[in-house]
Amino acid sequence: MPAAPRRLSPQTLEVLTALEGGAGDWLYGLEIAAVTGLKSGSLYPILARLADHGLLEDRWVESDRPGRPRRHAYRLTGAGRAALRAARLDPAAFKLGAAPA
Amino acid sequence: MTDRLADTLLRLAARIAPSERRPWIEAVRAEADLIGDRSEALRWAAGGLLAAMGWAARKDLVFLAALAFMGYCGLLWVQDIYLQAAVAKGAPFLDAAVASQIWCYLPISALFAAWRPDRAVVVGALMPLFAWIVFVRSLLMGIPSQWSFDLWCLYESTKYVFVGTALGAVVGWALRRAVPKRPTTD
Repeated sequence: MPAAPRRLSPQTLEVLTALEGGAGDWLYGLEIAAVTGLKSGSLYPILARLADHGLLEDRWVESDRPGRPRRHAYRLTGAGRAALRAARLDPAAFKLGAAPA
Repeated sequence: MTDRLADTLLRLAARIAPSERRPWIEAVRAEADLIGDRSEALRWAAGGLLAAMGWAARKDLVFLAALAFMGYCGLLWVQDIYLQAAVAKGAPFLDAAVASQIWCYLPISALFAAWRPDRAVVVGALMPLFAWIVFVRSLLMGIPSQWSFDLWCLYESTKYVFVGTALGAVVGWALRRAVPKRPTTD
């Protein structure tokens, strides 16, 4: 189901910036939370929304310790990097999910 | 290993979350598993539960209504503080205030149950929750006049919730039988 365009919140911008700081590496939720200071209750809805809009890709990573659950890792897509650039240029006008101008 | 309470919160979150969001709760759980500090892991898990509630509220109107009801309970809780003070002072308006409060349970539980009769049992269990919480709290406080009053409130609320839920469920099922289902388009 396509989500309606919505203004980018400062928290979402922080998450995008944190993912950009990963320089293409896969980051885990705890790492993003440590960088942004966001709690899980705010972080995961943002990550889910960004994934819905194709701005980040996610994958499951097997734990190196047996018996531990797989971890979910994230990194920016090309669209995510473009969205971040656009949002930095004009944060007030940028809307998540809106067609690019 | 995830803390037991944190694990319970995340199990609840996984039940509440819409199916397409459950992998995200698994992601929260995997991270919670790596947090060494118990209170931090609990906070992380509670955040996951909040996220699940938010997703569910957007998807399911019944869940949104249940959340609204919990908010309503919160308001009653605040009101209860004033009622407890009134009990201590023997205020004359008390009976009317409590009666009006308890009477709210009947129409609300009836509406909830009529709306989703398949969840009438959940509605019935959830509605007197506030009265249970107040009763247990006053028991823990150990003041007999308060807990006997709250026990009465619990009895009255449960009675009205039972009547309201049963009436609502009957009306809801009857309506569903009477009104044919709309055909789906795809």
